Amino acid sequence: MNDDNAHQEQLPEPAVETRPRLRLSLIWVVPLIAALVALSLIVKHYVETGPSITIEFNDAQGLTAGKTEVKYKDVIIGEVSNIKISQNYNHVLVHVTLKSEAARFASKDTRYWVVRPRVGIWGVSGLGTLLSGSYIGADIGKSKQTKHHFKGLENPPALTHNSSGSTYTLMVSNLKSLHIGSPVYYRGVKVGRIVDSDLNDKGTSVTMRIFVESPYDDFVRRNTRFWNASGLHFSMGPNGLKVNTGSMLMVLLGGIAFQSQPHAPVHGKAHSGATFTLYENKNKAMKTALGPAFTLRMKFSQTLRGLSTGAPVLFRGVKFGRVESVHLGYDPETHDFPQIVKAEVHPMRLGRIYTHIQQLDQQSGKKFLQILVKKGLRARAPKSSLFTGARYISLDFVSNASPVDFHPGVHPVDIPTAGSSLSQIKVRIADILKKVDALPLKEMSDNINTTIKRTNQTLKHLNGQLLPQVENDLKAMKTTLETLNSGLSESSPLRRNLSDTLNQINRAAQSLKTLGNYLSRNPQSVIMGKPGDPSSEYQGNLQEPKQ
Amino acid sequence: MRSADLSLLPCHSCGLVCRKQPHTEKRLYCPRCGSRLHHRKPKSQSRTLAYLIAAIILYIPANVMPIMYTQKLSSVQSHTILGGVVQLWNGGAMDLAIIVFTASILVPVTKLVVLSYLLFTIRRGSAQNHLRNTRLYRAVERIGRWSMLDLYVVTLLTSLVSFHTLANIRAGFGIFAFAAVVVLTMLASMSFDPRLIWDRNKTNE
Repeated sequence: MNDDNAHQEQLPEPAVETRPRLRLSLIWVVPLIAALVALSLIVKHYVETGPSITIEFNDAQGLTAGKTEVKYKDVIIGEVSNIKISQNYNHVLVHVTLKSEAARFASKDTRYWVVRPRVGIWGVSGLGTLLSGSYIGADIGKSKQTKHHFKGLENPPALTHNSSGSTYTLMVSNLKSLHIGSPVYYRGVKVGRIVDSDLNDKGTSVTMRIFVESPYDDFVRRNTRFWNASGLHFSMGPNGLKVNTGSMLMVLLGGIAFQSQPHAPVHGKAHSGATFTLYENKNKAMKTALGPAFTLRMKFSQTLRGLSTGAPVLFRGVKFGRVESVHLGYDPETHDFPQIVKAEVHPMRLGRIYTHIQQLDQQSGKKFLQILVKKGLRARAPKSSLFTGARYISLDFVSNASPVDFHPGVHPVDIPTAGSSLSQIKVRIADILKKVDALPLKEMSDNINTTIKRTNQTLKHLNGQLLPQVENDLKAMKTTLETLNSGLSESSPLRRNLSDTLNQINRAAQSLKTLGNYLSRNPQSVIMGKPGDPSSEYQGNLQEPKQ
Repeated sequence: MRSADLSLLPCHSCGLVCRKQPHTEKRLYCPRCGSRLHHRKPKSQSRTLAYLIAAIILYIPANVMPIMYTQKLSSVQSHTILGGVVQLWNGGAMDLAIIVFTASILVPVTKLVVLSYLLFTIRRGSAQNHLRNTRLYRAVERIGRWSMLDLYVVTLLTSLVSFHTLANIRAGFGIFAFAAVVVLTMLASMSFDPRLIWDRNKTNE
C-alpha cells in the first residue's frame, strides 16, 4: 500500500469542473416526453371515437370487421369493429364505431344499408365497391333522439333525408312494371321517383309512395292525375289503331307521369302526403270525372253466364257504369235462385239533366228514376258478342213493359229487369209451344178417327150396293150404244138410205146452183122462159105458179 | 480489485491513469486528451432507468397502433406489428413470420426485460451470477441493431409503393413509436455500465 501511495504522489491532479451543475438530471425528460406522447394518443383516441352502434343486417356479405367503412356522401364516418350473429341466429349484428364528428349519425331515424355493386335495368350503382369492397352507407336522420341499435336496409333508400321535395301516395290495383326507383315524369321531364311500394292490409291494392323533387312539386295540384306511363298502349278508335308510348326509356323502365286535366280549373297545390289514384294510361287519366257513383241492383231470373265483374253498364248504348258483383240470390217463396247483379253507375254521364236534377232537391233524383221506370226503363243482360258469350248490362226503355212495383227509396235501388232480346224470342217460342200444348189434340185426333171410320163405312156401303147398280146401268148403256153403232154401220140399210138421201139432196142443190147461175145471166127468162130450151116443160112447170 | 479501490481513475480515451479526486461532485477531464474522466459511466443507473421507462411506455402504442396503412383503390387497410406477423403466418410464409416476430417483438422485448432485470439486480445488490448477467448484457448489445428491420421495411415500402389512387402505403404512428423504442433501448443499453454488475462482487475482494 505504501508503494501505491508513493506512485500516487507523482500522478497529476485532474482538472476540476469550474461551472456549477444542475442538480436535477435532464435525462428524466425522455420518459416524460414518452409518457406525454402516449397520453396524447389515448386522449386523441377518446376524442376521435364517437358512439358505438349496432346495425342488424340479414347477412354480412362483403363486410369485414376492422376493414369495412361506414360512409356518408363518400366520407368515412366510422368503421365496422366486429360482426356477430344475433342470438336467434336470424340476423347479423354489425358493431360500428363512429367517429366523434359523426356522433349525430346515432340519431333515431338514421338509416344504414350495405352498398354493393347493383346492376339493374335502371342502371348500375356501387361500381366502386367492385374493387374496394362493400361499405355501409348512411343517411343521416333529423331526430334529436339517440339510438344505438339500427335495422339495416336491404336496399339503398330511394329517398334521403336531406332531399327537398314532397312525397305523395298513389293507389293502384297492380304495380305492373313499376318498381322502387322508377322515375316520375312531368311533361317528359324526370322530376321524381317511386320511393316505396306496399300492399295494403287486405291485399286488394298497392300503395306506393312517390317523391317529387322541389320545385317541381308545385305542379302537383289537388286535381292532378297520375298515370302509368310505361309500356305500350294500343287503342282502336274510329281513326284506326293508335299506339301510345312514352319515350323508349319509359317503355323499358316504366314510369309514372302526371299532369292536370286540360281545361280543368286550377286547383291549389297538393299538400305533401296527399293520396291520388294511379290511372292505367293517359287516356283514362285525362277523361272527365265520372262523378259520384250510384249503386243499382238488378235481379235476373235468366242465367248470366258471361257476365263478369267489370262488365260495362250501358244506358242507351252509352257507357254508364260497371258491374260490381254478380251472385246468386234465393227466393224462399218460389225456391228460385235469381242472379243478383250489383252495378255502379255514374249518373253524371247523363249530362245536363243530371246537374239540373241535382240542383232541385234530394228526392228529385229518385222521382226522376221512378218516372223513367214507369216509362219502361228495364235492365237487360244481352250478349255483346256471340263468339265470346260476354254479357253486359243494358239499361233501356222497353216498349209495352209490364208495370212493376218500384221503390226508389231503398238502397241499393232495384231496377226491374227484362229478358234479353234473344231470350225474349225464346220466351215467345215457349209461349207458342205452350199454346200448342194447350190444344185438345187427343179429342181432335179422336174426331178425325171417327170421321175416317164413317167415311170407310160409307165407302163400303157404296161398294156393296151402289157399284153393282152402276155396273148394270153401264152395261145397259153399252148395249144401247152397240145397237146405235150397228144401226149406223156401213152395211146397215139406215146408213144406205141416209147416203142415198144425202146424194139426192146434193144433186138437188147442184141443180139449184145451175138455175141460179142461169137466172143471174138471163134474168128475163123468169118472165119469158127459156128460149128453145128442151127443158121448157120444166120451165113451164116452173112458170106455172107465175100465171 | 478495481481501479476505484486503488483510488485511481483511468481515461477511457487515451488510457492515462489519474489519481482519484475527492471532489466527486465536479466533472473531471483527462489532463492529456481532454476527455471526461469518470470512474463509472455517469448516472448510469438513472439514465438507463429513464430510457427504459420511456421505451416501455412507447412500446405500447408501437404495438397497438398501426405501423402502416396500405391503400388499395379506395379501401384502406391498417397493419399492426403483431397483425402483420399473424398475417404472414396464416399466409403460409412462416419463415418470414418468424424473422419479423424475432426482429420486431422478441428482440425489443428481450432488451427491455434484460436491462430491467440487470438494473433490478444492481439496485438490490445481488452478489450472484455476475458472469451470467454480464453475458446477458453483451448479448443485448449484440442483438440490439436487428430490431431496426421493421423500420427499414416500412421506410422502403412507403417510398416504393406509391401509385396514388391505385395503391399506396403510408407509415402509421406505430412505426414512429417503434423507432423510438428501438432508439431508446439502444440508448439505455449504451448508458448502462456493465461494471456496475461487478461493483458489489464480494468474491473478488
